[in-house]
Amino acid sequence: MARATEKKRSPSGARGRSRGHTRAPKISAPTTLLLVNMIPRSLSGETEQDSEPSIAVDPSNSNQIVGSAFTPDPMGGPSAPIFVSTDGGSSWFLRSTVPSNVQTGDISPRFGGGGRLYAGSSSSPGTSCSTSSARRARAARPL
Amino acid sequence: MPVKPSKESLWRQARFVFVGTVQKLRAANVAEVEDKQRTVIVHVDRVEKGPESVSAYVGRDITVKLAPRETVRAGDQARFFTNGWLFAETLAVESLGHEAVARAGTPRARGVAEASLPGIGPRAVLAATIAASEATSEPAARLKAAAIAERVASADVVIRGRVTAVRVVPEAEPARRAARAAAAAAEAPRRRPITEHDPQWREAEIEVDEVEKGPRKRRVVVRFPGSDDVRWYRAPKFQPGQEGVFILQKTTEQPAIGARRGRAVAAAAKGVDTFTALDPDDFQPREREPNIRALVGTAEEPE
Repeated sequence: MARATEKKRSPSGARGRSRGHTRAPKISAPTTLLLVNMIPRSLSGETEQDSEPSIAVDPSNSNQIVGSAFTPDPMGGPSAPIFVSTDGGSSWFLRSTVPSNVQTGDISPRFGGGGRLYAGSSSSPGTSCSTSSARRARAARPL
Repeated sequence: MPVKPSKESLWRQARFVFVGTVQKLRAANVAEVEDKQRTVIVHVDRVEKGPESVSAYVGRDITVKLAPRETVRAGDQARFFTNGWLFAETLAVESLGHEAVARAGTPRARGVAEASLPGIGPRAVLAATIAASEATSEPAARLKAAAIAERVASADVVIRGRVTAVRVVPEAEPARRAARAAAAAAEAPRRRPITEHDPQWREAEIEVDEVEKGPRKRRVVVRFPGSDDVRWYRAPKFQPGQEGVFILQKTTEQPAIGARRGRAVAAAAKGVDTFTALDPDDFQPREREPNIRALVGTAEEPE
């Protein structure tokens, strides 16, 4: 796990602007960036591409985060995996749970209400899209 | 009343088969498992089928989620048929079922070790050798062999032959127009979606030397993705002159919405069935033909 720190910048002001202009919203830059290797220890040493990552944070519980990438099922099974964190991203585990007819394809996870996770995934052979069934984000519980 | 799956069936479905000793009931050594009512901790004694990565778990404890109505006792040694569940600090797997094995070292255990392995009879031993040169461990070779067997079982056609030509599929204009008209009659025309995962379909023409499965044919056309995109890089890429065994699925869903209109009609007009080869195992070197033939025979036998 790596940690990168960045100095806090002054928020950009709107001084000198004439009346009537809309003020830009003040955005504070993050003071700390936490970089976490999402590959779980049990898969340490894996050599997949894990490209095209996507991530979703549960708006009702920011400890619950789901990520996806072009990561195949580690056992070569028929379901595509998602990365799951239940501690705000500090640690991650992988769970093969997204129905898929070929490995994994552009899974786009989003949380709905009540801790439900929705995932869109492209189906074989890669041009048509479908929405998979909703899955509970509490991934360690039986689906 | 649900039918209890056979050992053969469990062996086929499971991607991780191991012999282990049950350590603790209603327990888990993966922190993410909240409900431990159906989980047990099992010590992995030996791995019989699985990817290379799981060999590292020999001698270690893992969490097993039992199947509905599956029961074990602490101290039991059993062959567990499982699939991956959670990959975290350590491994948790879902059991499809298990069978008791005699404890290691007893005369019975020595006698039944390999002989009683489901799917590892003479035919399967033959099949397991298919991948022996590619896999560095026996469990991985068995997993690979099972994957090939699965492809053969689901294939419409298995042939030995030679690639005589490879082409970018022409968008035959008359056929395309005809297809457009047909599509317009059936539904509103659809636009081809833009995707960075465009498979860049190619067609390989195969001159058939031997049909192992499916109807007799002199030549077949195999569609395959020419793209090396992350989505397609594993699929076989064919070259003129390439010889071997082709494990083919008949196209039911056309590969590309924009392309299918012309191609399907063009292929049908020529009276040539079109197939796909999308899985890395769908092409096997010629020297593996006897093994593939054995698998075809196995696949066609009733259980």
